[in-house]
Amino acid sequence: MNSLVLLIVGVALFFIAYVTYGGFLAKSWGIDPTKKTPANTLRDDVDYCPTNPSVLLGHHFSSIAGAGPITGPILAAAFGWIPVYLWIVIGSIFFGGVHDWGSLFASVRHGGKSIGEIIRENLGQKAKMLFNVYAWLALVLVVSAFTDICAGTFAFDPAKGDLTGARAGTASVLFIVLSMAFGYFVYRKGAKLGISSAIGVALLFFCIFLGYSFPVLKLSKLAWDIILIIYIFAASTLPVWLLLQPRDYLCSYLLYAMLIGGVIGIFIVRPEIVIAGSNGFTIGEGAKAQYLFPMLFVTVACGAISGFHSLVGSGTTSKQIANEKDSKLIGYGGMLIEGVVAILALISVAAFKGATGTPAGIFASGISTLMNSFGIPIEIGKVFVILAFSAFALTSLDTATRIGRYVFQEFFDKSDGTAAKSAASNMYVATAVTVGASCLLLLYGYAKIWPIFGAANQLLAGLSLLALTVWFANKGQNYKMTMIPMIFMFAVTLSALVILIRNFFSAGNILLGCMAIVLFALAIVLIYTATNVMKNNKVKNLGA
Amino acid sequence: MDIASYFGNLFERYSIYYNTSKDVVILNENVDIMAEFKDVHGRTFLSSKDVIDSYEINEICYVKRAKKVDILSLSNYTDFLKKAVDVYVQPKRGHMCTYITGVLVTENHLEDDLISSIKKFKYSKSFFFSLHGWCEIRLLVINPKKEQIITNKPGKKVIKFYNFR
Repeated sequence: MNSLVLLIVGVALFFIAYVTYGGFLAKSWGIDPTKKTPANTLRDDVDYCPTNPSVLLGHHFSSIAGAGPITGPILAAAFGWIPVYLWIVIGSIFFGGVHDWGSLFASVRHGGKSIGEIIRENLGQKAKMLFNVYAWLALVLVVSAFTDICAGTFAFDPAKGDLTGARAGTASVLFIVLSMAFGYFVYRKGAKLGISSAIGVALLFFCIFLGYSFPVLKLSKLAWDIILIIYIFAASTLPVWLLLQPRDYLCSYLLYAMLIGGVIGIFIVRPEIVIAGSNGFTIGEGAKAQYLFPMLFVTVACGAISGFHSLVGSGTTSKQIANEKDSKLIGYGGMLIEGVVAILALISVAAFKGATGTPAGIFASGISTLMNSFGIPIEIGKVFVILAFSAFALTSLDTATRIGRYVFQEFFDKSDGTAAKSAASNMYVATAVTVGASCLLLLYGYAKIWPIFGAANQLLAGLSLLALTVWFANKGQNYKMTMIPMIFMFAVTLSALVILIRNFFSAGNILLGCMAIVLFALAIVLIYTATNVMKNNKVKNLGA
Repeated sequence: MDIASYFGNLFERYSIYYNTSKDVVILNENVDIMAEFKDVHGRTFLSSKDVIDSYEINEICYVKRAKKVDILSLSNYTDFLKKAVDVYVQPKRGHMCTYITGVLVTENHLEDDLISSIKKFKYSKSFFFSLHGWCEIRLLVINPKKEQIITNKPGKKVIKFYNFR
């Protein structure tokens, strides 16, 4: 099979689905272009502000895109490229797209409230606390997994002498310094955005050149772990305008350049897929055994469906939707674009023999080989792609740390919901606890953490789909399009957690095993609570 | 444009986005229009109350009608603006910046040395190495009769708002 065919077929299927299934969903849900959205009715030009759909798509996409759509398909390629490809395409169209768009649409119809608030309104304060515990554990997993992946990618091994990691690490540190300088000059000194962007992007590529030419940071994985922990602590407590906003802004240029470079490369090179189509239902043995069902569906998370899309993305996007019809482009279209990124990641591992190393390294190796077809030297291309990957991972890291810190602080709120003044609710203490918990998990490495993170993330998606199903059912609308993915996601995630618990304990990974048990128990309690609420609502409706 | 029409237009324009008040006495200075604006940006998690991170940008505008503007009156007015910075700017975590915009409206001819002083005027202050934000004074002197607007460098960013539509 030629990778160009995979890409073209994937994009074509996404396009057809966008027009047909998207049209069907719009009709079923009653998307009404004449209905005023919260951005118009509650307009305050602070949170609620009608925004151009193409601008909003960019914002939404950069919010939901992290390292997930790249890491998942690369790790899951061990099952063979066919199941991964099918899950990315089918998952994006029928699961992730429906989940993202449904969450966004429900939020729009609920006055811009986020899906979490819709859950809280329906399930009560106790359920919200349980949900917070669940979310905090999931976030700790995200922080440890992404920190480990980045550290492993930047690490220099003197025995191998490969400078790629040191080059990318040096370029990443320079990129952080550049971002801070960009933020300082644009915000503090009032430099014009257009000129600053042109200079910023030029300097960004200069950072790659410097990192490539002078890879001075030849550090071990442990050293990078420590540096990254210090970085995320600082990034999640520093003012957002100083580092995060300028970094995310400059990072978007990296994403566009990487996507365009990868797609052009596939068109020029047209590499054949060299890995096996399928490796059967079971790979590995004993405690290391991985089953196609459910592990494939928790390993490829963000590239097919991700619960965090509904939490982080729709929290702000729904307040800026100018017209209900735009929600299709932003919610459904945004997820399908992420599906394209996941296909690119799959091709990068499937089309090149002997791809080994961290997911970032494999992805960089594949994409840089493709970009080499139009003159970009492979080694420079690698540094560029790793820089782009790590920038996404760092974005996810800092957002996860911030949310984790917030959720931790909220545990200590007073019963009336007001913030308590105690050492435990202090911002720095809460950040330190969240980061500290992640450090403990770092000992296990990202490969062991990723499946449990995937299960937690997918379970969040199941819970969001549950909220949507209840909402559609209460409105008397067709809810099969959310109920079927919901049942599937619950089946996948709960069975994945059971397998993980068994594997973790038999391998002696007590901490991860206990975490999986807690996640499983919390999920069961939340599902039980939701089912009871649904039943009670049904009885009330019948009584009325 | 006559000065009364200009004040009327300006007040209407302010009213769309700002909290406005007329004829107020601030720090012993009579001000014809005071307009305040607060813009809060942030990201939320579960509900709109659950703010992960946020920052605010404020602007306070003081518009004063002056019979005559000369170096001395300009100096007195900028002293008032600097005092306003000390009293009204509230540096804290989450505060990004506050702009104090001082606008003098006059029908008198503006001398060259005065224009030069306006253009050269510069005042900004950082709080806790900018981690608690900063403030900046925008200075504008406007002659509606001649449709003339003279500003300092930061004031150039808002010059369109004060045009003679």
